Amino acid sequence: MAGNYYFAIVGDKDNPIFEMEISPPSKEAKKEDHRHLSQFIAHAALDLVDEQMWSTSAMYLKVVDKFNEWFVSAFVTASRMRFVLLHDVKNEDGIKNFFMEMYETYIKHSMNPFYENNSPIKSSAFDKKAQMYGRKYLTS
Amino acid sequence: MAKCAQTAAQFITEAFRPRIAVMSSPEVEAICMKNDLTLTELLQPFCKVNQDVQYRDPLNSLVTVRDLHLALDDWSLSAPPPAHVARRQLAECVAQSLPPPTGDDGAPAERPESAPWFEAWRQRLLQVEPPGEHEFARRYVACVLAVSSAAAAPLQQLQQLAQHQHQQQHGQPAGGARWFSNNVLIYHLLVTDSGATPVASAEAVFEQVKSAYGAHCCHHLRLNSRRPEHREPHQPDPWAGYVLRRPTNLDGTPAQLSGTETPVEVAELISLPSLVVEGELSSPSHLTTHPLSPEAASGAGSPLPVRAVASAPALSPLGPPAPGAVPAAVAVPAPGGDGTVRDPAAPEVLVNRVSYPSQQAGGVQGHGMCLSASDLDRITIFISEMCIRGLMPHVERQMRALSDVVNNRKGVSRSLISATKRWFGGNKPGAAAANSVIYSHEAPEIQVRRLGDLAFMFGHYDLAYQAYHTAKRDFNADAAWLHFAGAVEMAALSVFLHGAHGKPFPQHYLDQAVTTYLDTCSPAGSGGTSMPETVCGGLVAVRPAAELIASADRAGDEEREGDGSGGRRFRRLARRLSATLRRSLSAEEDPSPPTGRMPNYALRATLFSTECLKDRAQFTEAALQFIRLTAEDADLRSALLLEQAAHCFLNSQPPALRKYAFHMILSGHRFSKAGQRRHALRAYKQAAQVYEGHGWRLADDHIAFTLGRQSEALQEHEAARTALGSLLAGAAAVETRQSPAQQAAFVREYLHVIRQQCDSSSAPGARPPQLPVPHLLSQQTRVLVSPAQQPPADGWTPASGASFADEEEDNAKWFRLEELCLERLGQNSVPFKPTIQCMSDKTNNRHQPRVPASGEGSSRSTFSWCCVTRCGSPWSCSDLRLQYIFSPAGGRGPGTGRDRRPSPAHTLSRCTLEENATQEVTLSITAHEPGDLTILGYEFSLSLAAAPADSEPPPAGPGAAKEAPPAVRGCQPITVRGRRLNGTKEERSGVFYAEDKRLQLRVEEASAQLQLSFCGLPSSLLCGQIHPVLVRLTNSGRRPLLRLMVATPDPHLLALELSPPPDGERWSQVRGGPPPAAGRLCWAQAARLGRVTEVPLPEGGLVPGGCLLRRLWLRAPHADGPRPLELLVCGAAPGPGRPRLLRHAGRLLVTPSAAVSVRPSRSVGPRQSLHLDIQVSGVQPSAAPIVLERVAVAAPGWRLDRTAPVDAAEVQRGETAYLGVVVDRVPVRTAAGDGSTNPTAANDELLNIGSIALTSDSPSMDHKSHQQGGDHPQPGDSDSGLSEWPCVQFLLRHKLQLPPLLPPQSSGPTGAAPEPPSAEGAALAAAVRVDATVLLQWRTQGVDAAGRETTVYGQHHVTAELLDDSSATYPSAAELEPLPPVTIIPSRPPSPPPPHWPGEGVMDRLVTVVPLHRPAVNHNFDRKRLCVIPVTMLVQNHSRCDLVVHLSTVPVGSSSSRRSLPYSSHISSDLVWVGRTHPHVTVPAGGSARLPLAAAVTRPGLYDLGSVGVACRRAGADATDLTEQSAHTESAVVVRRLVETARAE
Repeated sequence: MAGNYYFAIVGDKDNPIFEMEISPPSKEAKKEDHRHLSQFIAHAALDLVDEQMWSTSAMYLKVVDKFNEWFVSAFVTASRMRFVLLHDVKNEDGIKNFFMEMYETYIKHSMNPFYENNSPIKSSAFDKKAQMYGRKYLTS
Repeated sequence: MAKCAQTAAQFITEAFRPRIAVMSSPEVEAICMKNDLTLTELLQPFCKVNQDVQYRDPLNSLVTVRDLHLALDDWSLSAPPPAHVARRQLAECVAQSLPPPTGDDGAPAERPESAPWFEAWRQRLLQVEPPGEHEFARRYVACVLAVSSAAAAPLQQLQQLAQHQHQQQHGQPAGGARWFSNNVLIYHLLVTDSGATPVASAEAVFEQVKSAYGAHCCHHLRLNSRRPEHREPHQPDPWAGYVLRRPTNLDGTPAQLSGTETPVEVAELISLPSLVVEGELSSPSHLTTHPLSPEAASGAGSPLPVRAVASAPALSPLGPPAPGAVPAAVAVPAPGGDGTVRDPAAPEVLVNRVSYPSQQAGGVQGHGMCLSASDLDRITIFISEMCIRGLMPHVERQMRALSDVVNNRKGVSRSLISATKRWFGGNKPGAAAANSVIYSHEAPEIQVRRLGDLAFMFGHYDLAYQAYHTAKRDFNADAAWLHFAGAVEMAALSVFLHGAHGKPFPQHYLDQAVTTYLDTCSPAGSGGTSMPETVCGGLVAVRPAAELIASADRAGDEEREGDGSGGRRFRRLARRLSATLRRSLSAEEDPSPPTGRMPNYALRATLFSTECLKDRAQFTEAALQFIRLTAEDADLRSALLLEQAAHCFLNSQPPALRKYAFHMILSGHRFSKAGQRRHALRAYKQAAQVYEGHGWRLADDHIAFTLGRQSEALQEHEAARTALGSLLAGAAAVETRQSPAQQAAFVREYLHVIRQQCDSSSAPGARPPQLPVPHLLSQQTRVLVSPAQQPPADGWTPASGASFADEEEDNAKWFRLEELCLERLGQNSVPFKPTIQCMSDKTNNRHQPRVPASGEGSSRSTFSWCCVTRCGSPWSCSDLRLQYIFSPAGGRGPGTGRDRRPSPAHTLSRCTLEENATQEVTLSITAHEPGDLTILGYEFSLSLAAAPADSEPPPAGPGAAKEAPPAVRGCQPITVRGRRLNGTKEERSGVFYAEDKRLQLRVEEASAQLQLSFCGLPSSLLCGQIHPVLVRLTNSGRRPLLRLMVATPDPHLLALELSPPPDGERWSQVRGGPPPAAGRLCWAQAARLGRVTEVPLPEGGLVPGGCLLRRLWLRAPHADGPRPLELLVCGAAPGPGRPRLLRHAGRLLVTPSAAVSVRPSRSVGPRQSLHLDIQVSGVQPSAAPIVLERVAVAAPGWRLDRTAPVDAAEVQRGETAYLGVVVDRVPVRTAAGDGSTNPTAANDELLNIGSIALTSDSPSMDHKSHQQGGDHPQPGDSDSGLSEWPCVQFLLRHKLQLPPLLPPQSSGPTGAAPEPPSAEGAALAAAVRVDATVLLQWRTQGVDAAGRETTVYGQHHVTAELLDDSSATYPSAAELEPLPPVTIIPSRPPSPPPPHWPGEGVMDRLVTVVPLHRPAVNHNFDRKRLCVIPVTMLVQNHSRCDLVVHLSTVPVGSSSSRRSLPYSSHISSDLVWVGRTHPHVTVPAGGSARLPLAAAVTRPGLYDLGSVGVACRRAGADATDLTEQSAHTESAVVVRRLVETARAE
């Protein structure tokens, strides 16, 4: 299930605090000029995330939106941090696992006393973990 | 909230107004043209019937129509325009309907209030669209034939017009589609020009007309009754909204500005997808499963996009130029033969009028100038008359007739096919649509639909719904999907308009209609009369072309019979034509056909549907419907629909703000693709409000870049600059994630915009614009106030001065030195305010830096700041220049610095900023006149650095930068602020910054100016090497210097000789200078030394231009490694100003030479003397030996025993030499001069320097001997072998103990030795204190700076402090103790009680006992069995305290370990002390006492007489407080048996 993914953690002021693109290793990197489109789509999907998060008690909201070839899956943490994942293939289980792992990673990271909540995550360890989980659950 | 001006009901009823065609004779048009209007235009504003009109429906119930609104169409204009013209019209109407200006700042409105462009577009769309084959609501129900009463034969004209109408309706199949039914109402209008035609004759004509056609369908309209002198425009102009804009637009500017002419490829770098597919999540499979959807085709990389089938009659004005339009275009030039294709979109084809009088007159004239108020009333009366007397009865008749047909139709069976289809076939739209039913015009199903449309038009929605519903079922059964969709759509609209008391609104009807239009309908089934071709559009396009070619060939053949050449020409033309056509078809220049099968009807249905949905507040559904109708190829349509979708998202509950923003972005993108720049700009601006400040960097960049480009294209340079600047400046640039190429594109675009702006403004004296790039770190600006660097000349190196390279933390050191200097000058102020030479963000900048004005470039201020490039490509800055304001002290007005003479700014011609790097830029400025100088910023020419080969400077002029990388002149302000304040509570709770005046310079009057240069400054020295440097101090200022101080943080390293160097002497000679004034020095002399030395100046100080030459001695320290060489010169000038400061910071590399260690030990003997074991190890890196020249000892209370032999020594690398010297205790001369050995404290510090020359052949010795004459001819004879300069100076400095420079504790330059705990304890401790300084002079061969081999001299000094304790210059690595284990919680350091008494190591070494006796005793044991040996015990008290010494001939304990002598095994033990065995004696301080004792032996042998126990106590102490002494002196005595030979003989 090699697809392209774009993962973003969005803070409660609609600010992205973490962004990552996950592409299968075999393919070359996606074209540059579509990276901003991912942001646009993810940002627009927040409306639907905010709408659907009240309709379920689950954190994982499944696919909330779609735009052209992109599906948008979302996950809302207890502190209303929104995980948004753009994907062009269906991979529900993998995405769910990815979200859960990233949730745990995020919780651990947010417990760092030097990390200010809702601020951009610049930890390379976090980045590595996200890459690792992306490889494990999404692109492999 | 984007509200449409019309409500949904209004919009729908407007769209389906009853339409009436107007045919007029030329005379009528001439009458109307006096008002600058056509007849239709004249009538249009009055088409709304103000009174209620009534008619009876087929059931004979009265139907009242309120606000009936008719649509009058000029017949000549009513033909739907060709597709390309329609598209042009649509684009123009959007472009001309611009949002209201939003203010000067360009800030968009918070929320879109309205979208008039959308409504205009919608209106125009309905106008340009031809009525469909399947619908009748938009066909003409009546026709007005207008003739003039002034015409020659009005009745004939009326007949001609009627014939024309008949021909139009029945003659051509194409025209028949535009009439509602076969018998439309023909209404006859007689127009009379009141001013020109007599009323009576007009009335006569009208009577004829009435008699010919009946009174109910005739009307006489009199116009132009206003007198010419009263002509004035109507206020308000009722025709303003109706008159079609003249195609030749007089002003023409909006069309150009809005850029509708050419769709521009705006975003080739950043693009958004054209395709927008969104929708409910329940059917995501739609994306991939629909095989015909364009994204599936394009996703699969199919070279041929799926083409919708479009036939020529149903040509869509919305889509791209369909292939059918091509023959129409090329058909024009064919007869002309020039082969050029005239622009088919030329607006003249719109209107086929003869002339426009107002335009010929050239002036703008109001409409209806000849119409009086009564004329207007007549027009209103005409319309209502026509409605009530003509139209309504006609409608009644029609409705009844249709109703009859419908009612009679019931029970009539349909064809067999449709019946079977009803039973067996699927009734779903979406099934095979190809074999649809073709109805005739008068088919019953069509009549039902016609009835519905008629009822709908005239407001009988109930009847209309019933008819539509019936028709829907019929069409569904017949699988006539186009008809079906139309009926469904109209049924839904009927319900909607019928109002609340009807049934629930069938939204699914509308959805079904749209879906059917889009997916199921094929144009082939669009009407019964359409061509049966169901081929693809390409073939449709080719066929007419081929026919054209064939006809051309035929024409050519025919012509050939007459003229051969003409035929060939025709054929060539035809071939070229066909080639052009094929090329155009094969090259796919036209975008692919629209998405759906019937996109225009789908679009219209969607417009209705969304209006209904919006009316019922179902905004999200409406948005989805809008999005569904966007297509990849129709940019304008998609843009408008996306924008509407965005507005719907915004209006939804809760507002989906982010969806709104995204769709506005998409819409703006499509607008820009459609060439609607203003709309694109507006859309992007509105979306940017949502995005900004949230940190979606790439999105922000895209928006800013697009805004910039669109603004630039619209000549809005300022906005473009702001938008593009935000891409490059500040935080956006810092955290950019764009690729380098992208960033370079940003930069190029930005520079381009700036250049455009500069060109357009083109004011020569204007200040250059402020640029956001490169990113300037203003706060890191540093200001250096320093004299100008003088160039090094003929061996003289100038002092380094202060520079930006100085470490910030060194400042404290310099400040402290300055403070010391000021103390010596007596100018110290409390608190001390240092002179900050280099001001940075870490220094205290509350005070203005002061610069003395100076003539010849000696004092200047240098500014340095950091530029950061966050760009992937390097910048090139050139012609950097400071911007400043200088106001002279004389009170003249301030002037900008540019034209100010006294302060020329130094420019930097060029500097390149590397990519992603931080670079420091330094500019300097020299002030020549007192005043205030304020630095504002700097200006520069900025360009992207070109290829490295391009070395020539960019052209300075802004216009000449075409081929060179574009250079832009810009400026950046430098703003600084002080550190954040944290003093008071307010400051702590708020954010306050201190004042920072580092950019505001005070230029003072010219003063003295110091210059310092060195000659022979070495870069590396050996450890201990002594090196002279010549120093030249110059006053280059305008005032004399009165006092001069030289300060150094390291006085052990350098010493300035105060007297001038001997002229003509070899000043570089090491051993120079006069001998010390006294042979004996005192350590107290060292106390006068310090970090600050005042240089005596000649009378009157150092005059301007004066010069002072001094020798500066350097002596390298013992430790190797780099060593800073720092010097501060402080000169006090007369006047109140601060003293001038000049610093030099250099660096010395110290290489190892020799390591010396000294270990003092007591010598055994009657004299109190010490052995000093000197160990010299050669650790020099070179092979040259170190020749030890002289050893000297300087110690208070000790004198070198020069008689003791010392070997000369040479130490090679790796060798170690030992020297042993002996020093004796000096009997201290007291004030009484009694010569007693009692030392007194007064003489403690007196030094006795004795030296022993180790070699006699040193050249320095020769020199010294020569210099000192014959006073001390023999080396090693006296103290004078050591000259004061530099040897003794450094010896003294060696003893100099200064408090650490930092942190400043006490102001005393010399540190007093820490007081001992008690005087008595100190006196006791003096027994083991040596405090002898050994000075060792050496020489070796070295290489000087010029590379010549020279002899270098040096000296080491080691102070041996304690007895038996080794001191070394060179701490060996073994002494490094392992670090204590790290403790997390530091244990409290044990605070030892202050030692009242010296420790054990001192107390047991206070006293030594030396047995004095004969070395050998001959005894005749035969004569006397007992041999008594007299021994005198010499008890020496080494302390400075009277002691009582107890001797015990019986060893106190065996615990005292005795040194084993080589003969100890032979020592006999049976020695018996006789006589006094436990004597005690009081020994004075420093003195000695003798105790006579006696020992007895009984046998010859070897005996140890030193084995006595020694203990002592202080004179006044308790008798039991004895301390046993550890030192034991072994003294052997040999007792021989003396044989009495005489007796034996």
